[in-house]
Amino acid sequence: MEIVTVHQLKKYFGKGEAQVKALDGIDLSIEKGKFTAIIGASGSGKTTLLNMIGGLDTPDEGEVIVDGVNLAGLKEKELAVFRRRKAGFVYQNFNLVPTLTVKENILFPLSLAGSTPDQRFFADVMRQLRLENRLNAYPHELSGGGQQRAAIARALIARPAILLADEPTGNLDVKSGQNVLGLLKLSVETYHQTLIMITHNLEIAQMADRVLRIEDGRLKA
Amino acid sequence: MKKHETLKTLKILMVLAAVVLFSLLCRLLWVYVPRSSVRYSLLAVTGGIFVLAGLGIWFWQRQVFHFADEICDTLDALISGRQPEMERPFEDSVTARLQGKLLQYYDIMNEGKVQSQRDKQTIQELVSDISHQVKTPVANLQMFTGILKQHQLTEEKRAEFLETMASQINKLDFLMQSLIKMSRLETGTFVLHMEEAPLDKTIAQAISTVWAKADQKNIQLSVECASSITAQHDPKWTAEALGNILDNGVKYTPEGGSICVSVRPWQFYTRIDISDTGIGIHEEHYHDIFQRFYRAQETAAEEGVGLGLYLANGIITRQKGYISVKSNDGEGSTFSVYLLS
Repeated sequence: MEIVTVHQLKKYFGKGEAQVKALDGIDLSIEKGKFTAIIGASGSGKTTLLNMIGGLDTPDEGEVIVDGVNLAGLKEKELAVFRRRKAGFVYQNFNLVPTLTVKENILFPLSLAGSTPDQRFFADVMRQLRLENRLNAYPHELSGGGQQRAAIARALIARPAILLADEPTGNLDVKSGQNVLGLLKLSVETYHQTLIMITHNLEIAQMADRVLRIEDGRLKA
Repeated sequence: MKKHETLKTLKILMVLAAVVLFSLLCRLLWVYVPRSSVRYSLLAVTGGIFVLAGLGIWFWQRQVFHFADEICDTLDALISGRQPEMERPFEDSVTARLQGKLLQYYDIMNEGKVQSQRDKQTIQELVSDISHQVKTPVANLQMFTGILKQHQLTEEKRAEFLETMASQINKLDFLMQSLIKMSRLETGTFVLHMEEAPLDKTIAQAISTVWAKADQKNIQLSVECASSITAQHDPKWTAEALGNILDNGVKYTPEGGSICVSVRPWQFYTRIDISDTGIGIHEEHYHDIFQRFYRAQETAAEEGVGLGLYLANGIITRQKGYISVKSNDGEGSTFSVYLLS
């Protein structure tokens, strides 16, 4: 079953001579519960694509359908609700709030949506990501890998329909990168999450169920 | 039933109370407010408040009914297996929120059904793959039996054909063994006995399966693993997975090369590196080599069906670990097996 369908997606930056085709007609569909890696050099348009799937950016042409809903038909406010409810984001630089503890950081998106976590699920995720002893620590007290695990927990806790990761190990050394990646893969498998991860690293991409390659804004077979 | 009756009594009591209060108000007005204009104004204001409150309640009730209607529509759609029609699914309203949650619940509950459909499809693919793989050796065997039956052959030729047939039978046997393992892996019918066990024994077990082959090709095997290192794993199946990776290494490393196994405990994972000095794997095929029946063009000369790494990956993944590969084309590859510590 497809959870994400992208049809003839185009996005241009700039005008006239200086125009850059960030995405030049992308067609793809992503299966539910699978781990898909999108690889490509920097500037190939992979972040733009991810942002559009996550409702952070709007395409110039084409459409993005997530879980049966065409994002083009949503108003700005509805897009915000969409992101809150359906998408979980994991970034290269973690994006944790420095003045909140790990636990508060993880529960922050839920509190924005006005809901509370399922205690069992919360404990389970913490155990899975080896965070159970660091809940009251502040982000700066954690290693890079620890911070990224907290960010992954934050993305998972709302059980989003799609989990979007943009170079999640980009800021980590190889060792913690592999540790984090292993736990991320394990979590998405345990909770049947759909994960779309972009990376320029083939070593990381090989862990995915499926690898898509982007070159100059086009999907390469 | 009782609750319903209580509610009814409460309703009557409320109406009675309203009547009593209103008559009390009238009496107070007529006794203590001498000017009739003030009296009537006060009465009108109070009446207004009453009406407004009534309207408010009516409006609120309508909202509740509307809310219930929409939720019922969603549930009806889900009951009959349809995708519910939601006009604005991401509106910031209570209805949309609840509908979203209901859909999420439905999806999670539906997961089992989808999974069983997927399993069915996997089995179908398996059957077609198996028949495809078995075809060639069986056809060969049929051909050679035909020849042996019909033609007068020299003793020498006979022996040669029988030798070929024996090798085909071996191939079939190997294929069957692999397929049985694969089907057990795919259908999840194999049981893992996870235990905290020393890794050096598991690695020794794996090495023993390729020792003879490596010796034949004059390939040096070395292991670097402290006996104190343990990891959560099923020794028997993990040895099988490591053996498959080692077997590949031996197969694709030229004579006189070397294979090195080293173990390092990490924060959450224990990493087992298996490095060879073989032909290497092109970056683009890192992902492909773990796919079922995948065989790179360069490997066509060697025997194999393309199941070894696929099986290894499946076994390790089911133990909550993972495998990654890194290689320099022509200089060798390193397979890293990560097991949860």
